[in-house]
Amino acid sequence: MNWRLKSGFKPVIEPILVNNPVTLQVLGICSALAVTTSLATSLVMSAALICVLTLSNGIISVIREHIPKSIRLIVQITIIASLVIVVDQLLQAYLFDMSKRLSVFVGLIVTNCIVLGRAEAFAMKNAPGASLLDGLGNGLGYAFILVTIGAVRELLGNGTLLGASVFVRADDGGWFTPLGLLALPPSAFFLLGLLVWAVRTIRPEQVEPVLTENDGNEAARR
Amino acid sequence: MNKLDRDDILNSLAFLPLLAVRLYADGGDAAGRRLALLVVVLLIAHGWAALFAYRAERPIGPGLIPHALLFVVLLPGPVPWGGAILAVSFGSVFGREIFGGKAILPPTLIALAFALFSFPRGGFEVLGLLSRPADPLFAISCLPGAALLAWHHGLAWRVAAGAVLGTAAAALLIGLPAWWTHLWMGTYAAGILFLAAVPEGSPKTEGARWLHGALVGALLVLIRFASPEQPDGVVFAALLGGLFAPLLDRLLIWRHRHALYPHS
Repeated sequence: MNWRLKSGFKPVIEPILVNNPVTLQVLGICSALAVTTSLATSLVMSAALICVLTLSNGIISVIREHIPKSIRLIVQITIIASLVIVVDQLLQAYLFDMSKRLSVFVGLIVTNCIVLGRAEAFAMKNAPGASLLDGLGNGLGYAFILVTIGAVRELLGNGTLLGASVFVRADDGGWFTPLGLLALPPSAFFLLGLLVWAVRTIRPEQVEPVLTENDGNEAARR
Repeated sequence: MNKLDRDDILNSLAFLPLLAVRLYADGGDAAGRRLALLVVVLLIAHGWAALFAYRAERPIGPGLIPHALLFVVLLPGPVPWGGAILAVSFGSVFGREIFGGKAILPPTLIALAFALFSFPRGGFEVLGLLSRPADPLFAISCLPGAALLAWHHGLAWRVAAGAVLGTAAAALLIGLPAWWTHLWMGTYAAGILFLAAVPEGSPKTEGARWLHGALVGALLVLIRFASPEQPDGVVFAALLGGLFAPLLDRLLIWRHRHALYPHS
């Protein structure tokens, strides 16, 4: 697979599969477990995170030369928190029901490791344009996982997609028995595990070397 | 005959009385369906094991026949086949095969937990688990197999003894009358003996086995007492207790080491 379609878009496309923040770096999985009960909540959550991540990366990158090193985390968090509040208020104003279904998890984007991670690892060192693209790409990578898990959970746990009936449930005379487990958070863990497995089967270079007990002891001794 | 095959045969022998009692209680058509389900479950468990073994280029792990037998025996009443097939696939893959053919928890336990979570009203609890009938015959039919397994070190009797103590203690603490009736209600006996006390699900050290058993027994009473949706509670108690097994082992080993080398 050639991901270098155009070098300018590499930071957008690469985090979707090759360097996915969720499946490779295993960041931001709390919300991936919590809001993926339906496709609609997954989509809105993804959109909220993409907005916050792209804008925070851009803003932090613009002022990166002026942020004192010793308080950079505080400055980054302040910017991220402001953006999250804006997104949260917009959701409450225009999508009140959805905002209630997402409950605290939009507000908790502040603590999402992907956002702070990209700010610290990328936006502090790169120009605004590249940082915007990097934020967008990582947001899309997160969205890809969320939407996949959300779609599977809604389809198999409820027989619907975006609220529209796909499989006719046995209660309504159809053949489909909803899988109750998929409505519960542990199922997102299983699905995430399966996704990580699938991605690493396609791209075996992501598989970490197996650590034996001796490796751990040696690391501890060092 | 190697050691692994011998374990499989012993386990299967141990489960045969349970199967006989279940078939006798089903009677007629239901017994035939249960036997047919057994064949299907066996084929599916074997299919997953063969697939993973082929992909990883390793031999097929042991324990398939006991896994299928116990799963079918512990299913109470009529069951939708699709659900049973999904549940046993989940148990086989997540409980066994992704860990290289070695189980961390009994795959049967994982399959049953999946079934209970997924189909709370889908037929799995029609008879046994929802109404939790007293079934002394089923409980007694577990004993010869358990004795056979314990004799051959296939079953930790300390876990079972600890579970009875834990059940008694928890029931007395909550103030439930006649705690001993719990021992033959629902799937208590089979669950404690063949889901909690088996080598895959229980700790390795002797002291930890007592603690593990007591934990499972107490949890079981708590679940039965507190949750009207899970009147049986055996599967969840065994699942939770099984997750604590490695920690209990660690605790006992730490304590032992501390007693030997207090200043290390």
